[in-house]
Amino acid sequence: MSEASTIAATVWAFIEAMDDYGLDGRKLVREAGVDPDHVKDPDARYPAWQMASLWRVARAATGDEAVGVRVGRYVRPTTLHALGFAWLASDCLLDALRRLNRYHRLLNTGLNMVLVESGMTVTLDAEFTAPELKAIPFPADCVSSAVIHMCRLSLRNDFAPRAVELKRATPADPQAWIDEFTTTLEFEARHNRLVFDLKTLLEPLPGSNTELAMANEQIAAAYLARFDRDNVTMQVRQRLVEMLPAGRVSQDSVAESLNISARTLQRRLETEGTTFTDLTDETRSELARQYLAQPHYSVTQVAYLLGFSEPSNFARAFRRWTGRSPSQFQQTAA
Amino acid sequence: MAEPVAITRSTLASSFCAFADALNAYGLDADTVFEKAGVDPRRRFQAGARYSLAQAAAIWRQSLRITKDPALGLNVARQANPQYLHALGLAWMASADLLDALQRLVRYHHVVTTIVTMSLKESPTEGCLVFALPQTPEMDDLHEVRDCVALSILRMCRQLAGRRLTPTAVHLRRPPPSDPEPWANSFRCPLHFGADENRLDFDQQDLLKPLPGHNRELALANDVAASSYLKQMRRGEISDRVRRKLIELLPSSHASQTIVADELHMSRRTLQRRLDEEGVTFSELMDDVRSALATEYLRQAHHSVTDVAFLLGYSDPRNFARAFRRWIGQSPQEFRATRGKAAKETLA
Repeated sequence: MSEASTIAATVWAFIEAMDDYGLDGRKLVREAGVDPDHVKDPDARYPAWQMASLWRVARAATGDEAVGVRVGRYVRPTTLHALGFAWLASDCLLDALRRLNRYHRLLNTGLNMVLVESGMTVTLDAEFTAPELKAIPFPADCVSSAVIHMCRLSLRNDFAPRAVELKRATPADPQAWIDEFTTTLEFEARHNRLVFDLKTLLEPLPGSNTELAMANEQIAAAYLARFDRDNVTMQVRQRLVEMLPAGRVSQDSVAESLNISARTLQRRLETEGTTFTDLTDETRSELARQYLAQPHYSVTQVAYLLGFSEPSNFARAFRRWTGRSPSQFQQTAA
Repeated sequence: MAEPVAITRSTLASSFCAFADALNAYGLDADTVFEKAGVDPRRRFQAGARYSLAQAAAIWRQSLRITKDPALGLNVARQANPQYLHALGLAWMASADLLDALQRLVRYHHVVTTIVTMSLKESPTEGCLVFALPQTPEMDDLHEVRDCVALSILRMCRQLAGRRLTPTAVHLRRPPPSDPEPWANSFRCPLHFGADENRLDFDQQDLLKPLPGHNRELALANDVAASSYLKQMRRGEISDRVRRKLIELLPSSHASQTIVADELHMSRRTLQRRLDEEGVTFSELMDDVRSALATEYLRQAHHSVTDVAFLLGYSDPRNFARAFRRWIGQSPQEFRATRGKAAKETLA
């Protein structure tokens, strides 16, 4: 497994935040052993040890234990590459958080996110797997603050989650956390967790646009597949999206396009806890819902776009995924 | 006969999310205000849907009546966000520098509005964004729209380049407000009221500074999405065909949805579905065509108000008068006495 990396655009947020502390952001970044000119390349990535060094330097220079929370506020949609645009064009925050959950490796391959939807509550857990980033509290502070900031940008300014839980030690002065999160806070918690009310997550986003969300999600997937070679799930997902409209997608043809044997593919998917059939099903059901939400696709067209040879097979599968027929779904989505 | 341009002018409905946010910030209920103006408020959440010139003007007039705030345009602009502006807004956020962003705005501004025209003038030291509103009776006296467009653009530039960005000057084709302070606080640069054009002047150096959000791949992909949306829009689709039919049919007062569907060789249900897809209703299109034709007819001295009402298919002139006030903010008689005449002179 190659070393964990972070999307370079996050360093812009650093530089801007440091500048607003009255410091010289670019100079600090260089002191941390990080090349600030690298950030201009949107495809560039920084290794976890450099990010950790950046956090240490930032903490020391600002003297601010809440530096992670503050930097999170400087995240812009483009910091998240195409995922940020797919977020803005999502139907609702739940839709956006699902996309974040699907593509979070694009932001940081040393970060593991899990979205759990249960009843009227939705939780998002963010745990760093990269040891350098796990050892300090600032990255987790920053992720929580950045996610909430994106919710505010896309839904409304006064958005607040129901609760924020952080593993970090209780800070001597928690005021900065209280001010930023404006909700119930728990330190020394078992998880780094954001807790949301489902109802708020289902409010329509003003920027919602399924077509744009899909187009930008595709760019995000392609970008992720470009560098995240280790993540075979993502590679397969990307191939499926490309190959489905042509029909006849098999584990063999996907393995071939990835230059590995079908057996190796199967083994690697197993270690990532999934199977080829599950991935095909997931990808098809996601795409089906996205296509059907757009008025200019007929059910028959969608069936062919997803590689079904018969619309009736598609209808059956769709009912299995969603409990509804494609046309029922289309009516409620419209 | 009305010019086709005048009746197809429209604005992206989602851009009115900023308007709704502003009304809510006044403590009003935006949905109610939109409804009072005769406009479907939910349309603003439909991707790609549009409000006609008449509807946009009705929202402005209704809101001005309620808020009585001469700075309404500034308060709407304060809520402007690129994500309300379809693919153009996304491409905007990924622009290389402000010049790139403004060029993109000029190139694709029809995504957001075909009511306003825009251009960019460049010199070695300055870049100037010029915009104009149509000199039609629905818009010409709405100075708040000029304030709103100018400040929205500036706000979106500041979102890219930082709060401290200031233009070298802003020119507005509107009389000076009685209290210019809100304008001074918002633009934070030399302001020229009563100018002969609406213009934001920027220092070239500010325009060429690299932006943190730059991502060429994202900008280009969303440019493509913007131009395909424009293509879709220009095909005119069904709403334009309905408009043209209505112009033919209105004087005969046989302009029901069933008859129009019949004339277009489709079932009433198919017509309904295709209008739904474009996010317009038949009665909105009817309103659009009637308001455009009404102002056109009233400029011609030989039509009485009663004649005009009948020409537009109203069986009762009082209904016409009521509708006209909703579109234009004046009675047909007042309109004819004042701006109808003025408009005629400028046209001549």
